[in-house]
Amino acid sequence: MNPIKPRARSERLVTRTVGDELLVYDLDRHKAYCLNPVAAQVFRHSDGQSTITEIVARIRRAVGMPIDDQAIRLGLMRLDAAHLLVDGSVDRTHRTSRREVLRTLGKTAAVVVPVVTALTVPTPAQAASFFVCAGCPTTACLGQPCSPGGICKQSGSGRLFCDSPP
Amino acid sequence: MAKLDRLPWEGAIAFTAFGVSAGIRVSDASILEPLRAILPPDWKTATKPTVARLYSLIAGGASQRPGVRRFNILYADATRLLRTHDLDETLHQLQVSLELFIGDRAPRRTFVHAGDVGWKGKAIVIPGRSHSGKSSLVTAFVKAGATYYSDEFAVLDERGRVHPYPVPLALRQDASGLPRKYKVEDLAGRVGDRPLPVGLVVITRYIDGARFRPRLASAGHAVMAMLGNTLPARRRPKRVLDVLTRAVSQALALRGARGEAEEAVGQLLATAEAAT
Repeated sequence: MNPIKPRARSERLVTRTVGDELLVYDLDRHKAYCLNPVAAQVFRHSDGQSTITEIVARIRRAVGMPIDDQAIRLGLMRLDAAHLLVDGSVDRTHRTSRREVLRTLGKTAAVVVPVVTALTVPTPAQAASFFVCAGCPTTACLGQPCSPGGICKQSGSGRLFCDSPP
Repeated sequence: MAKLDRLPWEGAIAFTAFGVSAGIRVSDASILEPLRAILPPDWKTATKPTVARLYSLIAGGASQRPGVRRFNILYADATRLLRTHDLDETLHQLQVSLELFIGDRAPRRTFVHAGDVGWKGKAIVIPGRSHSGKSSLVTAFVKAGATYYSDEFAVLDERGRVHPYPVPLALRQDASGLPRKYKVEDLAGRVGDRPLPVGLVVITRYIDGARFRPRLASAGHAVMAMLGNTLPARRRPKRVLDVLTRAVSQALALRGARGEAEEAVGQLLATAEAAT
């Protein structure tokens, strides 16, 4: 059986390095991710040529800390969940959890656990206000009290209002 | 649009702000004066004959027929935005729509929905949506001696510096949800007049009774907090990421829920001072 060689996506992504973190913007899904240093290393070393064992060895050298392949598998799992890996380049049957990794690594775990923070990038209307009602025909109810999951409706007087779910 | 064009328009304003042009035509010339008050800071009369967006405001009020009141109706190009009897609501909606349009399209500025003040040559930026408590925090900063930049937008240039966007402070105090506006001078505050580099990013929201115990946030999380409030984030992601990463490159970032604004401001100013 061929060993798994994870490959990070390179198309339709914008990446920027901030300190030792990596910011990734997915142009297809309009989602942004902040990869902590370990997750960033996993992403960078997932070149489609290296096996997980080889990636672990490289990251150990780069980070200078004991990282076992459980942590890297967790990182790959998280990158895969964020659609940052090429489909089919990781084994989805072998899943590991953050708790398992923490148990294995003990005190150093907090430093070496890969973390991927996600954000759905807002539209201008969402960025400039609080909530945009589902089904709002324009952005006309902006500035009025809205609530998540609300539906934008028009009253008899013509005024738009947010009809909140019970 | 052709039907709108055929209506008798009594007055119009065409202007540019932050490199974006817009026009507003009104069916009643008496509305022009209150209209000028809601235009973005530093607007200038447009010199070109065409604008990127044309707003049309049909004024409501009493009709010639007894017992009938006409609606105020607002259009952005051919799209109807609002139909209401309340002119203040119409003007507020027009202002919101204008800010969105200009903030999204400004070619050389990046608009982040945030409150921002100047303190000892650096900007303190508080990204957040409406109702997150930005304005009350900005008000407390101004009362503590900080220079007012904006309680609505952090306007960033290509180098990541914050420019003033000094709209009146908007504090929500009445049940209608519409904000009441104050001039910063009413609080004995000063308005900033030059761009400042970002010194502190505060990721916070108001929780009643919370004690402010901020934790350090990474630069990456500071960028994410700002990105989540950036108007042109989807339109120009590469440029936005460049600007935001430059903006936070020399900044400290703190995160945590806060209670009363005055308590948080004391801590934040001490932190900002120590960091400079």
